Amino acid sequence: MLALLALLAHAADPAADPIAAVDEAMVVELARTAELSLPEAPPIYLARAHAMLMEQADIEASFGGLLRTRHDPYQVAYVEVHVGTPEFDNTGFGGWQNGFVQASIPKIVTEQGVRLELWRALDRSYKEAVEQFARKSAQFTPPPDYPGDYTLIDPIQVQLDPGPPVDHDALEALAKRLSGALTAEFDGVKLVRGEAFVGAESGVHLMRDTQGFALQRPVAENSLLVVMHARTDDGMLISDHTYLTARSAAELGEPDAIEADIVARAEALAALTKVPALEEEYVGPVLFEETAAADLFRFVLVPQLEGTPDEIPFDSFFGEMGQASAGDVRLGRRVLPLGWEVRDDPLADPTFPGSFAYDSEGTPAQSVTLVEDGIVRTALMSRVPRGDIDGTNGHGRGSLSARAQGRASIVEVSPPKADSAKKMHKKAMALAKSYGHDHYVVVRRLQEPSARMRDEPYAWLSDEEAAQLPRPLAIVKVYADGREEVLRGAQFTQVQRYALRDIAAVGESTTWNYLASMGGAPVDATPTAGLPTRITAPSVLIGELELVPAPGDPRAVPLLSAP
Amino acid sequence: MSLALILLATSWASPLTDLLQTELDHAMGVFSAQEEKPHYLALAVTDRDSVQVHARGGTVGGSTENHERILDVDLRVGTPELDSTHVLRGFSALEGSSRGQVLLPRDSDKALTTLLRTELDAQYRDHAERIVMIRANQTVKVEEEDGAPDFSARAEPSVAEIPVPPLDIDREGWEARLTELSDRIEESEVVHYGQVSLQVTRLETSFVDSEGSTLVHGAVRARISLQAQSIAEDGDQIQVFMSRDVHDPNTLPDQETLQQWAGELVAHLEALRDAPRATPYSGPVLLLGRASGVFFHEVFGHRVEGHRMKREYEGKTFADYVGKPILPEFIDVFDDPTIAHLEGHDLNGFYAYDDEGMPAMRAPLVEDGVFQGFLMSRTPVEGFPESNGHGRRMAGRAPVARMGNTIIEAAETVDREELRKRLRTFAKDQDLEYGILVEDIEGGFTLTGRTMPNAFNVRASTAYKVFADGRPDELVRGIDLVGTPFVAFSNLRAAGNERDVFNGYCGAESGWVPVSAVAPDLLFERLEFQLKEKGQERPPLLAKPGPDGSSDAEVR
Repeated sequence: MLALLALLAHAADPAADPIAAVDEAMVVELARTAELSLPEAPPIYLARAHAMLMEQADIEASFGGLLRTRHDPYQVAYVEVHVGTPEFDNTGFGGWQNGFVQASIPKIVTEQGVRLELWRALDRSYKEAVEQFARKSAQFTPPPDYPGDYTLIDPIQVQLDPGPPVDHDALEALAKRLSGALTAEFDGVKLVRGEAFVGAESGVHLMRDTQGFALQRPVAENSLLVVMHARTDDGMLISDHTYLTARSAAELGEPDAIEADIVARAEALAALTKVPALEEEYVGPVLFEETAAADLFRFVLVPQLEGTPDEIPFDSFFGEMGQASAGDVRLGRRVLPLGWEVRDDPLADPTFPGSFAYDSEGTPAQSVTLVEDGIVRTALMSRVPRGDIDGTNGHGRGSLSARAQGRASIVEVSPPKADSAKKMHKKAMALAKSYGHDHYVVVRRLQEPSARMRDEPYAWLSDEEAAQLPRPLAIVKVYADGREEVLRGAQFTQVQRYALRDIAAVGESTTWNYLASMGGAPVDATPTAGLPTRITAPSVLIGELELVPAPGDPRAVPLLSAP
Repeated sequence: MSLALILLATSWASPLTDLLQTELDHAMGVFSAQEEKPHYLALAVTDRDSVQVHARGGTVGGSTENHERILDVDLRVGTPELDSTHVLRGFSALEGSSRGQVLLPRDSDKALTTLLRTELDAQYRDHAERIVMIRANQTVKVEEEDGAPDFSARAEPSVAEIPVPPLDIDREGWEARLTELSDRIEESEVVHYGQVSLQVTRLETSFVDSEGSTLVHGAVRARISLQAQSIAEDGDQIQVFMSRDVHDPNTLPDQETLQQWAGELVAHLEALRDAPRATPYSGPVLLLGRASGVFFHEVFGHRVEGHRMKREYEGKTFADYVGKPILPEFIDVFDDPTIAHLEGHDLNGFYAYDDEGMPAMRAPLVEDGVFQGFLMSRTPVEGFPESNGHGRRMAGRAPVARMGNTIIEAAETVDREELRKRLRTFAKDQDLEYGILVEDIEGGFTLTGRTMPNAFNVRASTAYKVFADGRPDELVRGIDLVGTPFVAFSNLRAAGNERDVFNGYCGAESGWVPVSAVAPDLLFERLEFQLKEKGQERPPLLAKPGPDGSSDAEVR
C-alpha cells in the first residue's frame, strides 16, 4: 500500500493526462480493496488492475472494396483478485467466475468515470474469487508436490513511452490496394477470394497491483493479413496468405513491394490450380523447406515449450470439465536430435510487435534457452508456477481476462550444423529408396488455417487438427535427377511430437511471423487476432511422414464466374 | 409489368439497382440452366449508417459511427407450390440453410459484383440441395396440416424510389448533453450503474426481384434512452429504463425534458429499490396503455404471424378461429405499418415497403371481437393466399410475417378513474385486499410452439397494489404477468379512453425489427402474476466512489 501511495504522489495532473487519470483511479480503487471483506472469506493477498488505452483500426477489404473500416479508441480494464495465499488461491480452477473481470474505460477519461468502472469490477472480482476459492478448496486437495498457484516477485516500477499513432488512412489504402491487386486474372485464373484484413492497435498497457507494481509499457501492433483463395476445376480450395506485422503502418514495408509479393504469390496460387492432385498415399521422407519448415516447428515444437500448467479439472453440472496437463510439456524430454538448441528471446528485435521488455505481468523479459542438445531444459513461464521450474522467466502473454500464460515470442531453432542442398538431396533420395520410392517429397508452404477458414469454416476441426499440421499448399515430388513434379491436394496424417527427433538432414534457416491464438488453441478464427510471434528455423528432412489425398468438393465449383 | 412501370423504373433506377438487376438476370439465366431451377430471386442491398453515443459515470463512455452495406439474397428453387424455403420436418430439419450476414463494399462495383456472385453461388447450392431433401421429406412424412403453396403470386411489381433523409447528427453536442444527463443520474448513491444512450440509424435498401420490382426505400430512426440499475438489499436487481424513438433526430426531447427524465428515473429507481417484492397473485388487473400494447404484442401478435400456421411444431392458437369471436365485441385490432405518427409519437413500426418488396398495408386482425386473419408475408397459408405487406427481417435473415404497428381500438371506453374504481370492485368481489395496476413494462416474451406451454410473460417494471378499501396505492416489484391467450382474453372487461404508444424492437426468427403497439388501458377481471427472477448478489461491498474523488474506504 505504501508503494502505491508513494507513486501516486508523482502522478501527473489527471485532468490533462488520461493515462495519469486512469493510473490514479487504479491506485485509489486498488487501495480500497484492502477494505473488501466477507465473513469467513480468505484474505486478499493480491489485487491487480490492467488498463489498455489504445486506438484501434479494424479494416476489411475484399477485391479492392472496403467492407469494414473502423478507427476508434479501444479502452478497456481488466481486474483480478487473488484470495488465499500464493500457495493456494482461487485461480487455475475452472474457466469462468474465477476472479478475472473485464470492464470498460470511458472514451473521455475522467478519474471518477474510471473509478466507477473499477469499483464495480473489483467488487465482482472479489466475490467471484471468494466463491471460486471455496469451490476449489472443496473439490481439490493439493498433492504434496503441488507447486502453488502464483509467484510473487519484487515489485517493479517502469514507465515506457506509448506506441506511435495508428495511421488509419494509410492502412485503409493499403488494404484496398492489396485486395484490389487480387482482382486481376492470373494466367487465366480468377481468385474466388481476395481479402485484406488489418488489425492495428497502439497506445499503452498500464498495470498496477497491491504489491506495488506500476507498469506502463507500449502497445504497437499493425497486423496485415492478405488471404487469397483459388478453386480448382474439381472443387478443391487452395489457400495462401501473407501476414505482415510491424509497430507502425510505415514499418510494414513499401506498398509497391508488398503488392509485388502478393501478386507473385497469387500467380503461384493460380498456377497450382492447374497441377494434378495427389492420388496415392505417400509414406516416406519429407523435406520441409522455407516457411513450411518454420511452420513445422511452430505447430509441433512450440506447444511443447509453453510451460504454464493447465487448469485443474473441476466438477460441474456437465460433469468434469477442464483438462489437466497430459504431458504436452515435459522437462527432460528429447524433442530434437543431439546438438540442437532452441531459444526464445522477447528482446531479440525490439521493432517486432511480439517483442517486449516486460511481460503482461510486469516481469522483465528474459532470453531463455529452452532446448539444449535436443532435450527440453526449461519452459516458457508466467508467474503461474510448475513443480519443475523455479518461478517466472518473463514470458507471461495472452488475454488479460485470464491467468497469463507462458507463451513464445521470438523463437530461434538452431541446429548444430547445416547440410548443403546437395547433401540434403542425397540423403533424402537414400531414405526414399529404402521405402521403395523413386522420389521424395518437399513441402515449402503450409496453408494457414485462419485464412482457409474463410471458406472452409471447420478446416482446423477436422483431419488437420488430428494431424497436428495444416495442409500443404502443394507438395513437390523430387526425383534423383533433381526433376520436380508439383501436386496439390495433400494432407498429413498424425504428425507426432516425436517426428522432430527424426531429422535426417538440415538446411538453411527461414524466419517467419505468425499470429498465435490468444488462448493457446491451434487456430484463432478472427483473422488478425492473436499474439505476434516469430520463429526462425532451418529446413529439415524428416525421416518418415504420411501424406494422403485431400480431394475437393465438386459442388463447390462456382456456377457464376467472377466479373 | 406494365410499360408505364418499366419507363418509370428506367427513369430513376440508381446505378446500384441497375447493377443488381443485371446480376439478378445473369444469375437467373445461369441457375435456370441447371437441373434444379429457381422460380424466384430477390436481391436487397441495405446501407446501414449509424451513430452511437453513450455516457456513463459522468463522462462519454463511447462515441462511434459505423457504415455497412449488407446483402440479402432471397432465392427460391423449385416451384411456387413447393420450393426450397419449405420447412423440413423431423431429423431433416437439422439441415439448416441459414447464412451469416454478408458485407458488401460501397466503393467498388467490381468487388461488389464478385462478392454478390460468390454469395449467389453459395445460396443456389444450398437451395438446390434443400429442395431435393424437401421433396423426400414430403414423401416420407405424413401430409401437412396446411396445404397452401410456398409462395404467393402478386398482381404487379413494386417500383418506387423514396428518398431517405441523410444522417444528420451533432455528435459532439450530444456527447456533452448525454454527459450532463449521466452526471445527474450518477449523483444518486443508489445508482450502481447508469447509462444514457443515443442511437441513430439510417437504413437505405435497394431491392430488385425477378418479377420486375425495383425499389429504393428506407428509414432514419433515432432512440434516446436512459437507464439506471441498482441492487436492493435483498439482491433484487432493479432496473429503470426510459426511452423515446423518433424518425427525425432533430425532434428528440430537449435537454430540459431529458434532465427531468433523469430526475424521474433516479427517483423511480430509489422508490423501486425500497418497494417490497410482491407475491404471486391471481385477481383483477388494470394494464395502462403501454403495458396493454405489449400485452397484445405478446399474447396476440406473435400468434397471428401467418407463417406460423405452416409449421407443424407451432401452436396455431388462432388457426381455426377465423370468423369467430376471440375478444369482447368492443375490441378491434389491426396492424398498419403505413401510420407514421399516432398519439403524439413517431411509430417504430412504420414503413412503406416490407422486406419482400411488398407495399405496406393495413391488416385487419380483429373486428368487433371477431378474428379476421393473419399478418402475411409472401408465404401463403390456407385461406390467405396473398401477402399483406408484413414480410420483415433484420438484414441478413430470411423474411417472415412480423408485426409493424399493432393497434388496439375500443368502441366502448371509460376514463381511468372509472377503470380504477372497477378494479377495486373486482377485488372486493373476489375477496381480495387489492387489485394490481401495471403502469409500465420492460418487454416480454411468448412461447408459440406445442412442446412448451403456449404461454406469455409480460415483464412488469412498474406495478402498484390498488387497495379495495381505498388506501393509497403501493408500489411493488418483482412480479411478471403470465398466462395463456384464451383465458386472458376471456377476462377482458373494459377499455380506457386514452391510448398510449409502446415503441420497441421485437426479436424473432427473422431477427430484430422495430415495432410499435398502440393500446388503451385495459381492465381484466382476472389475470395471474408470477414472481420475477431475483438476483442473489449482495450490493457492492464498498461505497460508491464519490464525485469529489474521495477515496475513503467505507464498508457495508
